[in-house]
Amino acid sequence: MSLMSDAPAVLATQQPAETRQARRGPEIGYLILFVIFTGYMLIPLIGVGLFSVATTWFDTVLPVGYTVDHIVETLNDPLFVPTVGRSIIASLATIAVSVVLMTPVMFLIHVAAPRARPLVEFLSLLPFALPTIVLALSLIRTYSAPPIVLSGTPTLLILAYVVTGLPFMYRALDNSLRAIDTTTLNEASATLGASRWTTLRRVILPNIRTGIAAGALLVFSVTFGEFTLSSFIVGDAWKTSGVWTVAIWDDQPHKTTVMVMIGFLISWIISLVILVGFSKRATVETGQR
Amino acid sequence: MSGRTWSRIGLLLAFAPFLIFCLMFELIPTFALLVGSIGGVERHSFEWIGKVFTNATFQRSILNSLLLAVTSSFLGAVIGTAIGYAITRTRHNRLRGPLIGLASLSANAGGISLGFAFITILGSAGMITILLRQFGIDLMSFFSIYSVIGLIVVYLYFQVPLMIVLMLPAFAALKDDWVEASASLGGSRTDFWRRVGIPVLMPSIVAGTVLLFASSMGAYATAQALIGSRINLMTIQISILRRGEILYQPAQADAMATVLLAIVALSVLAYHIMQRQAQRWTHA
Repeated sequence: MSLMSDAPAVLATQQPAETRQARRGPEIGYLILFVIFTGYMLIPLIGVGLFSVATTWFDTVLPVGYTVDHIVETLNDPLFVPTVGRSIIASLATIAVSVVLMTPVMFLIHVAAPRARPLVEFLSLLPFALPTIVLALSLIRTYSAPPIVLSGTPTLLILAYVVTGLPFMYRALDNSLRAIDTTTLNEASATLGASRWTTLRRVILPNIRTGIAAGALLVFSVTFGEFTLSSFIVGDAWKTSGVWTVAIWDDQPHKTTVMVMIGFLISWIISLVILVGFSKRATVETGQR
Repeated sequence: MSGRTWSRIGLLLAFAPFLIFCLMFELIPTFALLVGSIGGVERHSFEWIGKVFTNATFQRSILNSLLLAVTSSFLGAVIGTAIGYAITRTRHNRLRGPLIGLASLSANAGGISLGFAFITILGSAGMITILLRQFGIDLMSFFSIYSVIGLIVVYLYFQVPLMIVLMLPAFAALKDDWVEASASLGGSRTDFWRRVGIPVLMPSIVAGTVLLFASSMGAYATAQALIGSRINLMTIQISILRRGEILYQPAQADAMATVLLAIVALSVLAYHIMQRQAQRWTHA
C-alpha cells in the first residue's frame, strides 16, 4: 500500500498534542505501548540479522559465535549475481514502463481532462483489490495460449509488476502534480507560447521529479525480492532473487537470511530517502524540526 | 481557461497506451479468470465453483483463511488504534516522528522475508523459543509458528503498523476544541467519547479493519515461506491446485481464485465507502 507516500502528509497534519491538563497516568501507559510496539517490530529483524552472521545457533539464546562467512558465501554463490541481476533488471524495467505510462495520463487529468480522473483512479487503484496470487493466475490464464503467448517470459513478469505498481505511481504523481499547481503552470507556459510537449518536458517534469522519484523508489521496493508473481510467471526459467531466496532455505538457511537482510536493508534505505529526503518541505512548512 | 484547446482525438491518443495496458493486463485477465473458473464459455459448468464450497478440503481452507483474517484484522485494528492514539497524545514529542517512521516502514513489510524472520525467533530453534525454555517455559507445547495462531502473530507485524498509519489522520482530525466545546456544554469525558469521539473515529476504524482483513485474506508469500503447504489456506490451496505437484486442476484453481477475488474485492469496496465517510472529518 502506498502508505509511505502518505507519511509526510501525516507528519504535516500532526498537531503536537500539548495537552492542557498534563495527566501522568496515561503517559506511562503510552510509553509501555511504545516499548512493546518497537520491540515487536525490531526483534524479528534482530533474529534474522543474528542468524545471518551466526556460526552455530540452535540451543542457545544468542549465537555461539559470529562470522561473515555466510555473507561472503552468499555474495560468491554462482546464483547470486544472476538472480539479483534479474530482479534489478525487472524492477528498473517496471519503473521505466510505469513512468512512461502514467506521467502523461496524470498530467492530462490535472490540466485537460479532469473528467477522466475517476476512470484513471479506478484503474490505478484496482490492483489493491487483486490479491497477487489472483493476478498471477489470471495473467497465466490469459497469456499462455494464442493470440498472445507471454507466459514464462520476463516480459509478462515486468508487466505484472507494472500492474502492482500502478497504485504507488498514481498516488506519488497525483500528490506532486497537486503540490505544484499544475493548471497555473500549464496556462503560464501556454501564454508564453510553449507547446504542450515543451510544457510537459521543460516545465512540468522538472517540477515533479521528486514525485516521480518517490513513486519509482516505492515500485522498486515492492518489486525487488518479490516472490509470488515471479514464482508463478517465470519460476525457475528466469529465477529472480525472491525465488532463489526461498529455494535455498532448506539446504542453506544462512544464505536465505543474508538475502532477507539485503532485502530489508534496501527497503530501509528507500524508506529513509523518501521520509527524510522528500518530506523536508512538508516538515519545514509546519515548523517541525 | 488557457488558450489551449485539446482535441478529443488528441486526448484519446494520449490516454490510449494507459487504457490499453489496463485493458490487457487488468480487465481482460480478470475476465479470463472468471471464464476459466467455469471451464470456458462453451462447455461452461459451475462444478468447480460449487466444489469450492462443498469439497471438505476447500471448505476448510476458506474457514482457515477467514479465521486468520478476521482474528488478525480485529487484533491489528484494536492494537493499532491504541498505539495510534498513544502516538497522537503522548507528551514526548520527540518520540512521535521515529514511531510514525517505524510504523510506515513496517506497514509495507510482508512477503517471504517476514516469514523467515519469524522462524529465526519463534521457530523450534528460535531465539525466543530458547529464551523461554531457559525459564522453564516450553513454548512449543502450546504455540507453533507453523499454525493459524502462529500466522496471526506474524501477520500482526504488518497489520498493527498499517492500522496505525491509517488511524493517524483520524486522530489528528479529533480537535482539542471539541473536547472543550463538549465540556463547556456540560458534557463529561464519557459523553465526549460517546457522542463525539467514537462517532468521528468509527468510519476510520471500520475502514482500517476491513483493509487489514483484505490484506490478510490475499497474503500468500509470507504464508508460503513460513509454512509451505502445511496449513490449508485459500492462497496455499490455489497454489497447490495450480502448480499441480500433487494434483493439477487449473479450473479448480481459477474457481478458488475467483472466490478469493470476490471476498477481497468486496472488502476493498467496503473500505472505500467507509473511507469516504471518514474523510468528512479528516479533510475538514
